Amino acid sequence: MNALEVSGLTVRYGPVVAVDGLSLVAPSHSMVALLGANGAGKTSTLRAISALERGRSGTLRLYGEDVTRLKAHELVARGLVHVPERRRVFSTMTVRENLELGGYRYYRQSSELRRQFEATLDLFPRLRERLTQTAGMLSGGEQQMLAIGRALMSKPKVLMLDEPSLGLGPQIIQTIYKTLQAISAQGTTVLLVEQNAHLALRVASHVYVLRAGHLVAEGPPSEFSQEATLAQAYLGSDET
Amino acid sequence: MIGQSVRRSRPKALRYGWAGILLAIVAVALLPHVDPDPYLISVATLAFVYMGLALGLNMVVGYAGLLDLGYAAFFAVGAYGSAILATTYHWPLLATAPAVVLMAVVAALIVGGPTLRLRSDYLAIVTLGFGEITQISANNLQITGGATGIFDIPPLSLFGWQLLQPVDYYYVLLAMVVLYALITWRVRRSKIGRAWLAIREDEDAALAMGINTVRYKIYAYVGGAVFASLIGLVYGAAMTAIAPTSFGYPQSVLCIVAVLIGGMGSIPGMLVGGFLVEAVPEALRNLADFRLLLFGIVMVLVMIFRPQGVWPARSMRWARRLAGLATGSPGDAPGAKPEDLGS
Repeated sequence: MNALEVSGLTVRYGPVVAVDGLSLVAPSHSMVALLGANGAGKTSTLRAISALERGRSGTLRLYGEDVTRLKAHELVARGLVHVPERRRVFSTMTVRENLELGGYRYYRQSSELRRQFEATLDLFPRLRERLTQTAGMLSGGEQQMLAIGRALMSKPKVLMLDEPSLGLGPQIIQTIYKTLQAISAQGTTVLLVEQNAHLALRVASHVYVLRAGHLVAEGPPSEFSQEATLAQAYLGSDET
Repeated sequence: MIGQSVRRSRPKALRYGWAGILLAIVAVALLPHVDPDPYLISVATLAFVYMGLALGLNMVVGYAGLLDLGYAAFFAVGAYGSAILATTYHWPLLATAPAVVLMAVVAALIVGGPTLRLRSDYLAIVTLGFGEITQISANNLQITGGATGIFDIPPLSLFGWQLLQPVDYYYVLLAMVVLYALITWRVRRSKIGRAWLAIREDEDAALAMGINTVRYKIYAYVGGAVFASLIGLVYGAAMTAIAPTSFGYPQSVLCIVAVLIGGMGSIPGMLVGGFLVEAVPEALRNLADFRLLLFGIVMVLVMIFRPQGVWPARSMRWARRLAGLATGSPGDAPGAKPEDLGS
């Protein structure tokens, strides 16, 4: 069963085509990585899938159901949750308030909310120590944990992450990626956008490579284990 | 959720808080008996008008983070709507209230419905235009009395009492301000209030959290419109006459100034802000032409030294923390143990 099925996705900003006819599939329980250089269209792809971007065409299926026409908040209710680029935590609110907003769809179900809250804090023990601090006071790594934790509060079936390693030190990246693997092992399908290809290749079960809005390569990570193949996929055959 | 646990963990501090608020209301209510100076009463009544408007605009600007530059238009919708129905069609003034609310809702949906689907910046431009259109229409239409406006607006009558004295409207507006403060206080802590704050902080992130941002932005805008329109109704009755000059861009700006000076998102801030925009120009009245200049200087100074406003929303938290320490209850004092979520 495919958790997420995207076909013919095109994103336009006026005359500029950022993503051109992209199709990708994320099987249930998999961890799929979307790789590519700066400006390849990775962020646009995620924003289009989660309906944060409006100028898009193509079809989107979630567990076989056509959800192309749903709005962003409706997709969240169906279990498709997006952790946006650069974390975007609510910086003047406390960690607790951020997490509560993440569980917004369970606002009137306090037992469900509490269960998600505990599960999230079990995954990110660091956040438990910071509950009453404002999110803006957290370190970059903690903010990334909070951004992921906030998304987990709505109990996603498919979690999409946009560069969770952005601007973080190697140690904290290790911690975050270990947690992502744990989330994946618990049965959440993960779609990951990364610029750091080596990092993504280590954890992903399937890899898509995007260049200038086009899909140029895909396959299991083992196919990209050699530098040359990856460089070719990133830069194009002419340049190598 | 947090509100509930706060209530449980700080009963003493909160009780004192309520006692203080009650005391303040009683003191303000007794003012006309202590000093029945008509000038004082009229200035205070107008201050209540601006407090009510600030509380309404606070929902739009302070909570949802939407810049509304034509807020006085809804004040006008209320004042003119009720005045026309009461004078031309001879409705009792109180009976115009539901119609006035309906007009405000419809106007807000017409202006906000399409605009609020876009980024927030567009709202400022569209509301600016709406404010101008409203005033120019009032100035030129026959039904609104043109530049002379509408006079002989009948008094409000509540439960058989005719409200004829200026001091009567002092009390009506005071009651409305208290009611508005209570409503916004409740809404701020509700599901809607949570959504507003998330939208104000980061609209995209709010959307990614599954919040229907367009719907909640419309709630804020319509709510603000209804607040302003009902204040407009009472204002017309209190003044007995209205003219287009009371509902222009300067009044919209004064409402924004009240919100900014008071402290966006803070209810006591709105009371301070509403009071200041009315009282400061009055206090400077004997400086004649210089008073607006001085008012401007005062505003600039406030923004330099109190950029968050005179009574910012965050200092409430700080004040509560102090209250928690003073009464020996844990509260969210530094180092307090985290409260249980949803308990």
